[in-house]
Amino acid sequence: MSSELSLLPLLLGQLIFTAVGAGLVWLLVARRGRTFSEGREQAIFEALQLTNRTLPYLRRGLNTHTAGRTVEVLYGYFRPAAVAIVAGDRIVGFIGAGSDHHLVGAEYRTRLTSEALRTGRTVVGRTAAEVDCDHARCPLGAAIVAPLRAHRQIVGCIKLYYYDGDAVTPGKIRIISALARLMSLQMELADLDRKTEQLAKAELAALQAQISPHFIYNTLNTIAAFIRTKPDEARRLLTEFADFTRRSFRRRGEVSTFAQELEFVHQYLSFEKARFGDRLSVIYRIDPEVLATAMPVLVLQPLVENAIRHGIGKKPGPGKVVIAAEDRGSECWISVQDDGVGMDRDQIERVLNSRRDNRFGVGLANVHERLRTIYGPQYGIHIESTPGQGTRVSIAIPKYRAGLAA
Amino acid sequence: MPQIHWLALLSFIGIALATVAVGLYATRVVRTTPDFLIASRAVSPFLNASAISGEYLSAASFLGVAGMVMYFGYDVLWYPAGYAAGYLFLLLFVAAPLRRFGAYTLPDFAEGRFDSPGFRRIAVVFVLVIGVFYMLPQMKGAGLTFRAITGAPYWLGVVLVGTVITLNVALGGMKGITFVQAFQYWVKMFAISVPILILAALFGSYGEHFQRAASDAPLVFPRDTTFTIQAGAVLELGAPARFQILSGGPLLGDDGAVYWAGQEVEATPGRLTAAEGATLVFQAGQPAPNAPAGTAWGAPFGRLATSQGFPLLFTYSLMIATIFGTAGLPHILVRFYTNPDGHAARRTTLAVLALTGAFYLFPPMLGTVGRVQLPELYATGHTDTLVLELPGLAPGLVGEVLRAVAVAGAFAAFMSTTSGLMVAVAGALAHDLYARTLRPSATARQRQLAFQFAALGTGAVAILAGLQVERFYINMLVGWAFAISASSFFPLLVLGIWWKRLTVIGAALGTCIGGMSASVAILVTMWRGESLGLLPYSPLDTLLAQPAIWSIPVAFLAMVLGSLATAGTIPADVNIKMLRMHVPESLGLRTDYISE
Amino acid sequence: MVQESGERAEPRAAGALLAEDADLEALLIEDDVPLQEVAEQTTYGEIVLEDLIRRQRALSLSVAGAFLLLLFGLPIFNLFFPQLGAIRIQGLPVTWLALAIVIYPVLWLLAYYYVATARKYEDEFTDLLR
Repeated sequence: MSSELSLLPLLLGQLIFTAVGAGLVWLLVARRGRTFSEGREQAIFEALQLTNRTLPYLRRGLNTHTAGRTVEVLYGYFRPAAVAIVAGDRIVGFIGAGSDHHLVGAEYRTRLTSEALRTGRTVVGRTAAEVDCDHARCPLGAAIVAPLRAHRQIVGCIKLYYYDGDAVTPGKIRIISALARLMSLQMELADLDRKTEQLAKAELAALQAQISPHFIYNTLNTIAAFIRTKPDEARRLLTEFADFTRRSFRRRGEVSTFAQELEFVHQYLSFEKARFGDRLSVIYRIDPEVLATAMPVLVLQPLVENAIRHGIGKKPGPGKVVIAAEDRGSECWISVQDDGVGMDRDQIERVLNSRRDNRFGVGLANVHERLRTIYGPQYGIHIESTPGQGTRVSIAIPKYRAGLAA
Repeated sequence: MPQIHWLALLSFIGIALATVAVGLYATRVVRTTPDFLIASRAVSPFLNASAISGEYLSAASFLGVAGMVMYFGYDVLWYPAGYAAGYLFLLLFVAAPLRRFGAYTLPDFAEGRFDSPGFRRIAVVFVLVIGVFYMLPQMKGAGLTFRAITGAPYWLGVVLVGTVITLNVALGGMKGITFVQAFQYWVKMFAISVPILILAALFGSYGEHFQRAASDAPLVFPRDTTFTIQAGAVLELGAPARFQILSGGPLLGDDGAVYWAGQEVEATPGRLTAAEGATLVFQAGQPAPNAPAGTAWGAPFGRLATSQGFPLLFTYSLMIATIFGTAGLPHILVRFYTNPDGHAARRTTLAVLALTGAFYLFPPMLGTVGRVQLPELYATGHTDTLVLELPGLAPGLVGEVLRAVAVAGAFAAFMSTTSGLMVAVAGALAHDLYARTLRPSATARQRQLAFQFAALGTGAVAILAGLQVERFYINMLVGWAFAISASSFFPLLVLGIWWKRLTVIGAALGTCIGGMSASVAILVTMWRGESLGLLPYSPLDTLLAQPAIWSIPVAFLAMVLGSLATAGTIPADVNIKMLRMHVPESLGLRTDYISE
Repeated sequence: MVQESGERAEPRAAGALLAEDADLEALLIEDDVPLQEVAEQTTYGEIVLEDLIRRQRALSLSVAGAFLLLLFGLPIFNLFFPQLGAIRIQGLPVTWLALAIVIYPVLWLLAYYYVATARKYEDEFTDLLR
C-alpha cells in the first residue's frame, strides 16, 4: 500500500459509508414497526372484540343513542382525531376534535362524506383539501369514510378522522370498511337484483365470443354419439366443453399469454380428436421462450380450427396439423400448417378480406383484422398454400407493444 | 507456443458445431403434447438461470479474471465479486418489476414507461454503444485463444471467430437460444473447474500455491522452461538470474551489456530489452523475469489499484461500475422476459447468483496456481491466456485433453456472449431503426432480412474494432461497457420502477448525460493510450479511466432535477404503470385491454 | 339517493337475516371492492399500492445497504487493519478468503432473504385485498 494514498477520498469514503450505515440501521428499525404480520393473532383478536362491542348497538338501528355508543368504542380503539356516524344527511354520532362545528343532529359538513354517500364506496382523503370541510378552521386533515347500506340504498356512513394523512394506513381502511359492511349486514339486507345483473353481463359476453356455430354443432353431435357407446368419455367431453365455452366467453380485447392460448387450443383439439379419431394427428413445435409472450386472446384457436375444418375435414384419409412457435428475438412467429386440400390465390384473398363469407369462416378474417389493428398494418395473417398440398397460416407477434402486457 | 494444439483446435470446432446442434435439437424436438410445457407455464427458473449465466460469463470472466489475478493479484478480485453482486442489485431493484411491466428490451421499457417513442430512440443508441463496447473484449479473447492454440496472428483469430459467430447469428438466427446458452454455461463451468481441480491434485492445493505465490522470496521457475519473447520485449529482473539464449536476440541490458544467441547469461538485477524476438531457457529455481513481488501481489492496494496513485478511489469506482452495470446490460435483460411472472424472475435471479458465484470461485484459484506454475507468462506478456495454458501442464495426453476442454470453455464464453449481444444490437437496428422508423410497412420477411443484414453489419464492426484493442486488458474493456450501462440504463430502471415522479424529460436527460459522460471519459482514456502507469498521477486520470463513481450520481441527479423541473409532465397513467410493475400477478389486476 | 335516514330505520329481527340468505351472499360478494379500488386508482387504492411499493423499496434498500456496507467496508478494513487481513487460514489470507470465496455465499443468502421477504410482503398485500 503506497504512502501517498490520499487521505481525502479515504475520509470522504468513510463519511459516506458511516452515513449510509446509520441510515440503514434506521431503515431496518423503522421497517420493523411497520410489518403487519407481526402479532397477527393479536390483531385478529382485537378486531373481533371491536365488532363484538359495536354490533350489538347497531342491531337496534341507527339513532343518536346507538351511534353515540358506537363512536365511543371506535374512538377508544383507533385513537383517531375524531369518529363520526352519519345517517341520511345528519350526523348521529360524533366524538373528538372539531365537535364544535360537527354537531350531532346537524347536517354533515364535508364533501368527502357526500362523495361516500353518492358513490357508496369507501373513500379516503389524505389532505384537508380532499376532506373539504366547509368550516374554515376545521382541524381534521384526513379521513376514511365507509358507507352503510340497506336495500341497495346508502343510508349513511361511518367516518374516522385524523389530523395527518400519514396516519391513514391500508390496514385501517380495510378494518373500517369491513366494519361498515358488517354494520350494514346487521341493520339491513341487500337485495337480489345484483345477481340478475351479473347474469345479463355473462350473456352479453357469450354473444361476443368467437366460437363458430359449426364447432358447437359438431362437438355436441360428437358428444351425443358418445353417450351410448362411451358414456364416460361423453361425460368428460361435456365437462371440458363447459369449461371451454366459459373460457371463450372472455371479452375481446383482453390479453393473454401464448401458454394460455396453447392450453386453450389443446382443449379445443380434444374435441376435434374425439370427432376425427385417428384421422387427425397434431404435432407441436414450440420454443419454450415464447410461452410467456403476451398476445390478444383467441388468436391461435381460429387458426387451428381453420386448419382442421378446411384442411383435414374436407379431405379423405388421415391429416396432420403442425402448430409451431419460434422465438425470433423481439418477435414470436407462430404458424399452423396442415396437409389438407389447400387453397388457390382467390380463396386466400377471400379468406383475408371478406368478413361475411361464412364458407371460409369469420375466424381468419377476424384474426387478421385484429392483429393489424393492434400491432399495425404490417402484422396480420400470412397464408401460403398449394392446392392439394396443404396450407400454412403464419402470424408474427411482437413481444412488446406499449400498453399491452399479460 | 508456435506448435499447433490439434486436439484444442478440434474442440474449438467441436463446440461451434455442438452449439448449432443443441440449437437445432431444441427446436426440432417434436412434442406430441404441450402439457408439460404448459404445466410449467414456461421455462423453469433453473434452466433460465443457466441460460442467463451462460450469456453473462464472457471472455472477461473466463479468460480475463484469472489472467489479471496472476498479473495484478488481490485487487482483481473486485471484478468477479462485482460481476456477481450485480445480480443482487438486479434482483433487488429490477428483476420482478421489469418482468411484470412486460417489456422485452430496454427500449421497450423506455418507451412504455413514458409512452414516448422518442425516448425509445435514445435508449436504442445506448443499446448499440454498450453492445459494441462489450463485443470488443470478446473479440480480443477470440484472437488470444486462437493464437494460443495455433500460433496464428491475433487478427486471424478475431476475423475467423468473429465471422463464424456472425454467420451463425445471421443465417441460423438463434435457434433454441435458452438451451444453447444454458448448455454453454455448463461447458464453461466444466472447463474452468475440472482442469484446475486436477492440477491442484497434481501440484498442490490452493493454499499451498498461495503460500508460494505471495512469499517474500523472488518467484522462481518451478521447472526448466523454454519460452519465446517478442522483439522489443522488456525483461525486468528483481534478482540475479542465469539463463541461456537459445536463438534470436540479442538482449540489451540497461547497463550497456549485450547478450547474443547461444550465450549463457549471468544477468544482474535490472532491465533487459530484446532487440529481436528471442527464445530463452531458464533452469528450474531461477528467478522469473517481470514477476511482481509476492507480498504486494497477495495484498490489497497492489499494482492495479495504485497504478494511478489513488487506490481507494480506483477500487470504489471499479466496484460501482461492475455492480451497477449488470442491471443495465441489454442482452441480459431480454432473458428475463422468458420468465412467466415476477416471482419466477426473482427465483431465476437467485439461481443466477448461485451459478455465477460457483463459477467465480475458480478464476482466482487459476490465477494463483498460474503465478507459481507458469511464471514465463509474465515475461511473454501473455497472462491473458493463462486459463488456456495452465491445463497443458498436466502430463501427456491428459494435458492435451484438459487444454482442449479449456479451449472449449473459452470459445463457449465468447460465442455465447457475442451471440447474445449481436442479437440485441441487430434486433435494435432491425426492429427499432428499420421496422419502426425507416420502413414501418415492412413485412415479416423483410424484417427478418433486415435483422440478418444488421447482424452482418454488427459483426463487421465488432471484428474491425476488435482488431484495434489488442493492447487493452479484457476486463478493462468490459469494465467500460459496464460503466456506460451503469450510468445510463441503471438509473433509468431504478427511478423508472421506484419513483413515480420521474418524467420523460428527466429520464432522457439523465440517461444521456450519464451515458455520454461515461462514454466520453472512456474514449478520452482510450485515445490517450495506455491507461496504466503512463499518465502523470492525478485523480482526474482515475476518474476518467473509472468514471462510474461520478457518472452514476450525475445521471441520478440529472434525472431527479430534470423531473422536478418538469413536474407537470408526469404521465397521467403513472399509477397504472406502477401498479403493473409492483402488484403480484395473482391478483389479476394487470389484465390489460386493447382498444381494437 | 339517500332515502332512508337512520332515525327511521327499524330494528330488524335476527330471523330476517336467515330468511334472506341470497341477500347476505350478495353483500359478501362485495368483498372484492378494495381490489377494484386499486384497479381504479382511487385515493384508497393509491394508498394501498403506495404502501406496498414503499415496503418493497425499503426492503430492497436495506438489503442493498447491508451488502454495500460489507463490500465497501472491506477496502477500509484492508487499509486500516492490513495485519488482521493477512492472517492465514489454510494458507489463504482472511481478506483474500473474504473477497474470493466467502462473498458468494453471503450474496446468495442476502438474495434468498430478499426473495422470501418480498414474497411475504406480496402475500400480505394479496391477503389485504382479498
